Amino acid sequence: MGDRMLEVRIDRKIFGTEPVLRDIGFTIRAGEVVALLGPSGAGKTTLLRILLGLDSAFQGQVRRDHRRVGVVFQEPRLLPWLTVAENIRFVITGGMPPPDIQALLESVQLGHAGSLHPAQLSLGMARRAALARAMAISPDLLVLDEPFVSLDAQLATGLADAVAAYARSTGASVILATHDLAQAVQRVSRFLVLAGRPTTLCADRPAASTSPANLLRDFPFLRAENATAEALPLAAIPDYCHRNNNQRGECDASPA
Amino acid sequence: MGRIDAAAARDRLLSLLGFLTVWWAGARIATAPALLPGPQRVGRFIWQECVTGALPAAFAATLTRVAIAFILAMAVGGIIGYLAGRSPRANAWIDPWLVIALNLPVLVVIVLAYIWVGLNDAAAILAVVLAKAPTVIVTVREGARTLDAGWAEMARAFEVPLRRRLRFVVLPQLLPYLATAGRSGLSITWKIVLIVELLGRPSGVGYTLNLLFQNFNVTGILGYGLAFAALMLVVETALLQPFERRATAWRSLGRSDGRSHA
Repeated sequence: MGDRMLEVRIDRKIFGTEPVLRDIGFTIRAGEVVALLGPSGAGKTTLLRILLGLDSAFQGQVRRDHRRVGVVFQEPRLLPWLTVAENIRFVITGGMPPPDIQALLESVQLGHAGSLHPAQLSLGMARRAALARAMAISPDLLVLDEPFVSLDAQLATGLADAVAAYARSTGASVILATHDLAQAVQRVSRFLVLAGRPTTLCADRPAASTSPANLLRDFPFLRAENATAEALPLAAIPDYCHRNNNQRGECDASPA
Repeated sequence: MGRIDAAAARDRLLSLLGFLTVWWAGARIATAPALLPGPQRVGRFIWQECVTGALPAAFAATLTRVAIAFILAMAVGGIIGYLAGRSPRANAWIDPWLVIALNLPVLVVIVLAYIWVGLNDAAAILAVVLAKAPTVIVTVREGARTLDAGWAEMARAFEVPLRRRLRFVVLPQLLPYLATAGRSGLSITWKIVLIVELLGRPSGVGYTLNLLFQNFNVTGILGYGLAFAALMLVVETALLQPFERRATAWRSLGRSDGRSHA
């Protein structure tokens, strides 16, 4: 997995006539755990869909070397007619090593739930099952879209630790999209901050040289209480982004 | 729940007994018993036909045609319906043909099939498939239009092969629609098959009914007609309804937040 890379360059992405993403470029190397930060509605999911190849209607280029990509969508997207174990087995296709499903479920504290159907799970349990499904294919790129929403803090922390440990032990790359800085801060190697209208990449900072306090000072919309578009109108965000960039004389979205 | 089911079963039985009573009373009042024979007389006729082997032979011929035509109509209608539901362009091509097919009298289809293909079983089955498939197409098209995009996207993101996606993502969502099309389809199919046999086949229930009609044998017409309707009812109750229940069993587990992305 050592030299696998993800290179993303989005010049423009339009919904209807409205540009929603512009001038976004970054590279993610093997073993990196990258937090994709931004308020709700900033376009994080749109960006993830583009780099997963689910949306090809954009100007730019995505180059992905990874062989197996595990995904956790914002919604669990478990097939309701299959049990949890069958949902995990569903994504295992020819050539993949058969996973130990019970061990996977136990790693997300769902050891008892293999024979249950999704309708018998709470939303938090379904999210954990979706995470187990993503890990089941031994991915070398793990894409997580708000995976810890609606989990209690202790459980979210435990799962975030498990994801980070997986990346360390396997050299897999991880992209974790979240609007909640607290979920990302301890475990990631880089922060990508998205904001503006249309959304652009406001910051690309290595975690080693950035404190959460600095991020919150520069991007107040990352505070949990400001994280929704309702709490902080998107129209106001370009000011933060603009001010942040101007303080350095240039956009600090250069690769780390 | 059990008490409600038992009450419903009792009501159905009473209703059926009421039907037999009205029939029996009508037969008693009728001036010419040959015009409306009573249930006992029809029952005796059915038994005699079973003993001679005439009724099982006719049933076997008709059931074979019903089964082949039903399976073909479901397969052809299912595939075309899926394509029409998934692709607006395919639907634009299919829809005008569908409107014509749905409004063409079944009798016209049968007669034309016999003229063009010949008086054989292939024409008979073709006529039934052409008459039945359009209703399957309409039902499955509705199902294909409601396929969940989130599940399809999930399968694509994990690069699940197409065949596996069709089997585990698409088919389970279409099964309730296929089951509905199957249930309504069976009752239509066997009625069309009887007409097809009556018009141009030398065997089967429809052919026998034609012979009985020429002899004004009302006992025989009622005997064959009711016995075959009862058999189809058994097939629907014993096969199609359990299949429909099984296909939709996961829905009875209830909806949770984890069920869908929607």
